[in-house]
Amino acid sequence: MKVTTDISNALRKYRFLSGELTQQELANKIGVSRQTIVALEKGQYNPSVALALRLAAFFKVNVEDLFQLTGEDQ
Amino acid sequence: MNILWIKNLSRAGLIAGTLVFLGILLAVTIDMRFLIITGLGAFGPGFLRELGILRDQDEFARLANYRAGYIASLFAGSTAILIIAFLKAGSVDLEGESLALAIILSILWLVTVFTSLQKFWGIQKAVFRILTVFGTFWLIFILLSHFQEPVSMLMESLVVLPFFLLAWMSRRWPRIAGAVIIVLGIFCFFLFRLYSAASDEKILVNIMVFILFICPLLVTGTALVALKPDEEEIIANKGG
Repeated sequence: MKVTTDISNALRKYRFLSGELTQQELANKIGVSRQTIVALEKGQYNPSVALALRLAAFFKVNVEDLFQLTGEDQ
Repeated sequence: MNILWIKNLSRAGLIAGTLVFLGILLAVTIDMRFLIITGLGAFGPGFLRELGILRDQDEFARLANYRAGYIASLFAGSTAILIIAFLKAGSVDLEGESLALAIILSILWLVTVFTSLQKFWGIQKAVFRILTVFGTFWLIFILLSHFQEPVSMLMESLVVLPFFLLAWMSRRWPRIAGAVIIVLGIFCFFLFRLYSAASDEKILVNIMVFILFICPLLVTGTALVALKPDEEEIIANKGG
């Protein structure tokens, strides 16, 4: 069985919906570096469950609203 | 030129960078022993982070560090092997620079293997398998080298017995097994007289024996003794 690990995210969208936060502001509020937010938005880095939950809690959405698996599990 | 990235450097990064630069400067102008300062700057923060004392990185930075370390070990390991192979071409002995490189290679390999086994299986299972494999290889070596002398083969085989016994104990009574392993390591240190060396070459040989034999015992023993209750496998209740 091949399991996809490609994950897309709506971080950028929710960042703008939350008062057009800058990446640095979001990073400060979540407690990570700006570089982490940059890598997340570019899809270069899949966050840990803890960080995904923290981001979802911050935006007051479900984790699935922020992060989605792309492609099909085979 | 954009130099704004400098303000993003952490305090630890700045101190480490300064130490690295200072160490190199003093080493090439006064004495190579000042390279120890460079070592403190280059590797000190990493040790402090692993010990949980320095918490200046988030998960993404740590992942980048781990990836960098893995790739560095691949390059450093293969480069060291190539250098040893070329330095000692036509010879079967390790000595001088090649022995020093072999020591570095041994550390790299042992730490990589132990860390990955420990992360993958947990401390108890990793220690059990390491001791079992170690004992088995030693036993095979004894059987092959003494198969024409049954008495000495039997006698030497007894030396391997504690490793299998400790492997078994490590699953059931990890802390006791750990303490015994540490004592065994200290005993072997004095038995092999690793504290005394008459020449630089002997010092290197002693270091090699210490790393290949004593260190694994001390590290596995300490890991078992320091095992947290919630990490402990309850073998007795599982019947295995």
